[in-house]
Amino acid sequence: MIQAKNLNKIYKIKMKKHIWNRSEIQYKEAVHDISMDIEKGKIVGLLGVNGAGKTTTIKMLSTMISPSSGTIHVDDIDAVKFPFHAKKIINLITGGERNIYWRLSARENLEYFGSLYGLTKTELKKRIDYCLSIVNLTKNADIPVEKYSKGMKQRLQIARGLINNPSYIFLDEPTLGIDILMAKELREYIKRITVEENKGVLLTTHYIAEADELCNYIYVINNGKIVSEGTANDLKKLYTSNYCLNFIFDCYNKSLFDDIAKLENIIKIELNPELHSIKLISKENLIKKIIQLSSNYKCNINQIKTEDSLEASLMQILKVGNSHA
Amino acid sequence: MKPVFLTAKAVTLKNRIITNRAYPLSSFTERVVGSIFSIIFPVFIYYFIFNCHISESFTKHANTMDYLTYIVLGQSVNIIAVSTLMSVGRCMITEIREGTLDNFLLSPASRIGYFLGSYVEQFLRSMLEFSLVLLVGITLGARIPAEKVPIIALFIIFMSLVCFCMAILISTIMVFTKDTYITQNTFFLLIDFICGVLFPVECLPHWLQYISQLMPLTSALKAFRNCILGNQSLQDNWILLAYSSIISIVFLAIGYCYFRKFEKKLIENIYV
Repeated sequence: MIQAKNLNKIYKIKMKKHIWNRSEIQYKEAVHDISMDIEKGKIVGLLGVNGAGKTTTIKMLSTMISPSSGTIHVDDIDAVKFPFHAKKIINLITGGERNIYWRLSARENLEYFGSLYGLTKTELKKRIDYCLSIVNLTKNADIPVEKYSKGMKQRLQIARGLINNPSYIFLDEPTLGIDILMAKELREYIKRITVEENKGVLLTTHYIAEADELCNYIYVINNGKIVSEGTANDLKKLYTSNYCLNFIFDCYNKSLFDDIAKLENIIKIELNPELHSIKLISKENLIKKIIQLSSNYKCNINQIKTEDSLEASLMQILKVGNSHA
Repeated sequence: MKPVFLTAKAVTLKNRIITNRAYPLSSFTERVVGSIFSIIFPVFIYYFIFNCHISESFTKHANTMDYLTYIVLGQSVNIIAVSTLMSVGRCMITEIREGTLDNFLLSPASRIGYFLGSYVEQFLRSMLEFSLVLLVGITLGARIPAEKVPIIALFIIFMSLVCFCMAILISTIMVFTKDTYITQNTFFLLIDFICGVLFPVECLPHWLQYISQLMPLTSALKAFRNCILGNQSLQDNWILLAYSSIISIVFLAIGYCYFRKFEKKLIENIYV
């Protein structure tokens, strides 16, 4: 199990107005008193807006940066004092296209990264074949990465993160930039290896549905602090003062959609003219008002769906967090 | 295989493939052509401006009247220094710029193995560059006795290792300052100017001579010339070689220790 206790991270930033000015030192607290557990066989989510402290937390847990204070234990290894021991059993998968060598092929990249983890030639071959097959890159394994699409590069990142068969995997927005089919396959794979291969997973994502589907436990982080934690259902129950509504109309009426969008107390709204649908999160139950509006415009409602949305809960959590900050 | 060698092997292979695919001939050609010009320029001055006359002070300090061979040996060593510093010195800063450093630092791979891998990858290339420059020098009139070839080979390996040690410190300075060009070119200038590549160190002002002794290449180059031009043996130059080795180890130790110290700050600086 990974146990992080009372993690703090304060960055020292040197600021210079001009090259001839003296540096001004500023301190920025990126993470404040974070404690979390990541058990084997479980997927733990770390959710928060940009700049909340997710990446700093994940970099500390993956031993890439040292915490200013606090402890991290990875299977009884003190990862702050002995990061090289911990590095052998962890890996990090980040979103985006960097972090791999574009001039090398996928196989050459994996051979290189596998060697950095001390894998022998035979182990490497087996592991590379396995990782490439998981991300569906076997056929393109010998093409230089610079010729890959964005999604293929992201899939290679995932293969790279699995090359040392880590006991704990940190996934920093792993589905960023990959298509929905691949993202779905990847989610299924994450679920499968977590259970079947008993791996501990920490996932950060902007896709709330992804966290809702995958995570056994979720930490919500804001301004460097954990503002809430629990299972997805716990969070939904705790913070369901918001309403999540889905309407499908029999036609698209621009004026109707505009009027609905102008209603008060809407936190977030998604209009889809092609599907004649509206999805919204609001502070009050707007069903009556929307039915009234649709009848004014003589537009029938085919379907109304209400749901406990993790997204709605998350927005509520962050709103509460910000008001306390 | 020990982790340090496994890492070195992996880095060597990776760098070899990238170099072959990215710039198969251009960097090699650029350095060889640059070095050939750096020989031709002083040689032409020697022939056409100074009319093959050299000062007494040069003869006294260089222990030779053969300026041509003197300059060819100096420039040949210089190309090894430039090649090693360009490859090993810049390897980390290149990883930072290409965004590939994170995954290396995430792994438990040997850090010194990484530098060694970068060194090994460029070693054969720098040897080839050295041989080409030496051949051009011989064509222009430098006198290198055939029986000196084994001792030249030994010195080349020694000086290449000296340059490796210097490169580790330079790499750390580059990583710390996040600068390539000023650091790298300052070192190249120092090597050209104060290490005795173009003229004897004794021709420099006294205070610069002291600084030149802080560079391990100065004493190594002096011992090299003593053996090739002055007909001395390796044993005659053991003090110079030992001194160069000690300074090199100091460069290596300082560079490596500071790199390990900066390693985590490095990632922080990227993310802040």
